[in-house]
Amino acid sequence: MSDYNLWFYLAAISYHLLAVLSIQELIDRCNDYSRWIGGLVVTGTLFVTIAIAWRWLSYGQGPFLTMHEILISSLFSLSLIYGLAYVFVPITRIGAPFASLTMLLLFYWAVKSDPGIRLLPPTYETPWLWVHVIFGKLFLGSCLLATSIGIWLLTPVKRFVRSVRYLWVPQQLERQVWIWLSIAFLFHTVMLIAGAVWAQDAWGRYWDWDPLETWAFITWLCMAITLHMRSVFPPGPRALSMLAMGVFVLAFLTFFGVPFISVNPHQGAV
Amino acid sequence: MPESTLTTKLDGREQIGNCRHMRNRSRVWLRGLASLRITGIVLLLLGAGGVVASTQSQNSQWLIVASLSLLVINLSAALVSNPLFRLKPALFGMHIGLLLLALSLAYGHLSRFRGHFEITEGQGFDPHQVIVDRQGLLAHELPLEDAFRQGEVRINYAPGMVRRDTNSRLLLADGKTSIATDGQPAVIEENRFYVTHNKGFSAVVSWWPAGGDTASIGTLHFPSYPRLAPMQQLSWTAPDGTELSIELEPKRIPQDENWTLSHSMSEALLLVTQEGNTTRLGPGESIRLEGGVCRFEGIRMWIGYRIFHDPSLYWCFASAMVVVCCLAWHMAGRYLRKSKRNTILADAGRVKL
Repeated sequence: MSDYNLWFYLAAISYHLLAVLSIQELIDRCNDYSRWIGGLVVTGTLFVTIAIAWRWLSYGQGPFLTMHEILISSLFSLSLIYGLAYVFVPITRIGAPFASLTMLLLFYWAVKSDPGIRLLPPTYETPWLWVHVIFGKLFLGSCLLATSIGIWLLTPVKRFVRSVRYLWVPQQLERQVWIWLSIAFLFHTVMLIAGAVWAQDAWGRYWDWDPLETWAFITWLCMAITLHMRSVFPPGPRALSMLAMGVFVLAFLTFFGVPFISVNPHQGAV
Repeated sequence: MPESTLTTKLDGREQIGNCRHMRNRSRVWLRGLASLRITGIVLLLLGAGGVVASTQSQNSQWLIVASLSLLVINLSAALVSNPLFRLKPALFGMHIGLLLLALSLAYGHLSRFRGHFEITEGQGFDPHQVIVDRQGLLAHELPLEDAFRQGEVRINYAPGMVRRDTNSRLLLADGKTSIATDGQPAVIEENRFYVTHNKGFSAVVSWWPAGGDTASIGTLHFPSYPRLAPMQQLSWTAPDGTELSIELEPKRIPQDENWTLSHSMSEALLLVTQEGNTTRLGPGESIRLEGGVCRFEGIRMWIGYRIFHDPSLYWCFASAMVVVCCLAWHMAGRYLRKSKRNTILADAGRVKL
């Protein structure tokens, strides 16, 4: 087993324990698992960071190109963003079950994908790649937070909860969903602009309606419509929760679904 | 009161009433145009335009331009009629940015030029060789002939035929040199010249007519290399109508080390086949045909370029940055200030308890 796999599977153990504990916390009335859960998020992030660093140093390039690389870098970023929110914004702790299951999904997907390396095309050697990728990850992380909080606004889910720590006032949850959705919208806008500048320099067009660009634009539009709905038809808690989940699913498919129909994250753009 | 004065006064009131009525009606119209419902519909239209554009690029542009125009109307009406924008300067700035962005994009669609062409080392730029991909109604003319002369082309490869960086030198008309690489176009007269991955060898040949007329020189582009390495041959009809089959012999590509593609990667040798007879031609050697003599001058590299011109490019970027900055300002004002207020309220509650 290579060092990369070792650190990767150590991270997997952390994420599995995290999922088990966060679900246990839902049904346990008395015990407080937040320290354990926080510790496991931090540990998992640390192990994934080491795995990525090992791979980066071995191959001399960052995880930007293949499906496996996109999955592990997203696992790292989601884990880091959720970990920071867990520590500094207490209300986001109720999102642990959803966040941990999302991370497990990414882990299993990464295991199934080909870990082989492909050399980065010369067009990827630009600082705009960093801006584009970092804001993309921040966007997905904010979406994850909005969804993981918003899911508790759905009545059928609330029935499973026994822990008093999950009994937040719906208005507080709603406000948090709006905040994270708005932040996600800002990050998504910056991601699109950085991507356009990069595409203009690299391929001579700032927008070409390739599948990834089209779906990223549709996600942006959905968020814009959702945010405008607040003024016209204020959605109730359930509708807001569904909208947040819809945006997350759309973003998730854009990030990890579209590369399936294209060899590169951006079709034909090498 | 004389009757005439009374009538005048009554007419004046009626006029004031009419003005108010007109103003109210125009306000109703403006509010209708500024409706967020219309915004939602326009955003959906834009999404539909995007989906259509990703599947077929021909007719979709009009759908996008139409949606953008509707968005401009809707935004302008909202900026004028919605009092919320007067209370929230950040939100106002963001929507002004969006309005500018929509206008810039629409203008860009009308004034954009996109095309592509191939050029050989040593050859001067000829705008007539450019194949137009898209030309807006307001697109300007291409640079004058011989705006630049193509210099040396070098493409580095990693083992396993993995393309690395491309370097293409352009000798400008004013004597300066510009280099176009991956991610860095050469900008000439506001036109951006981007190197493409399309390149190969070309044979420079001159034609000397039998009658002693003026000789002409030209280039024959072989298929893209190394993508089509085993197919380095072409058919050519000489000016006198003779059909020729011409083949090139590139050198072996190193499989386990870095290498550079330049014109020296091919043997300077042409295999010219005419009616079943093959002749080997080196640089300076010629073949006699019915209507004249064809002389092989040497091997060069050809490279493909994309040309892009859009005067709205910097406006788009600037307005997008206005949108982002104002959005961040608006959100900071909305959420950070509220959370501070909540903290103060919570503290006050604690003191009372």
